[in-house]
Amino acid sequence: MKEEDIIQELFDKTELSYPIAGMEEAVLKKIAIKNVYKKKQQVFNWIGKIGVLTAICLCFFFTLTIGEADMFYLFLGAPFILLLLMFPLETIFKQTIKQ
Amino acid sequence: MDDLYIKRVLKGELAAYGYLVRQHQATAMRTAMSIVKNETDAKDIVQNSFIQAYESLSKFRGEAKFSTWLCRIVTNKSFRFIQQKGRQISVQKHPLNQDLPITYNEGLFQLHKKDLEALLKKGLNQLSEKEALCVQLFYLEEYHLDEIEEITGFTKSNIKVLLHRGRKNLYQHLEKGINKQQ
Repeated sequence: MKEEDIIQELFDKTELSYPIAGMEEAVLKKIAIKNVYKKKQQVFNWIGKIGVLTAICLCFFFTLTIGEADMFYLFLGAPFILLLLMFPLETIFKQTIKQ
Repeated sequence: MDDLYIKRVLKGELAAYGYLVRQHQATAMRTAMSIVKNETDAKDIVQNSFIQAYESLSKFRGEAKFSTWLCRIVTNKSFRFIQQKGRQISVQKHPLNQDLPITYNEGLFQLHKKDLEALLKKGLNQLSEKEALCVQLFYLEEYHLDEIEEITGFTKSNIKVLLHRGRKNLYQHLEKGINKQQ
């Protein structure tokens, strides 16, 4: 018998199986967790965007209504103040996502 | 059948992906094992490959079979894994039933299925990653050269050389394994 035929016949006789018990459950579970993580991440991103936009609008409105030149600096600095305030919020959200 | 389940998964039915996992997990595992030679590592790679395949499913155009596409992901991840490990691959030992009196060739075919499996696994583990991969994809999974080219990224002539070398080396390892019993 040719070497090639022997090898083919040997492989035909066996399936060469490896232990794969629980693979399906593990994969589906990981995908489900990733999907939840993605949704939370999307929510967090939207809250962040809305928060920054709101801060800018409020500061702009505040500057217009008060009308003092000094308030312009508050208008410039307010988004950064809000971002600083959002850091602890971001930490809380990330901990929620990790859980 | 795979196309039907892929469509269901893309519509949002996660449970339908379970069918694809069940159908292709054995092939994926054998492909990963041929390269990384370690069951624990191979399992992790196969799991991550299935997850990546799920995330990229919308990009799957259906021109090739799902199994071919999945094997390509598994192959890429496996080679990246061994590169990262710096080729420190531990070879797993597969115990062989020592009791059977064996003569070569005839003896090979008279071996109990479990012993033959152990012998073949040991032989494949002794081959280089590329040789073992090509031999496994061609003889076990019965892929054509075109499909193996797509999965591995090797040229057809390279695949033929690897198959020839892999066959010869595997034959020698099987011969050594049988002769040890005599």
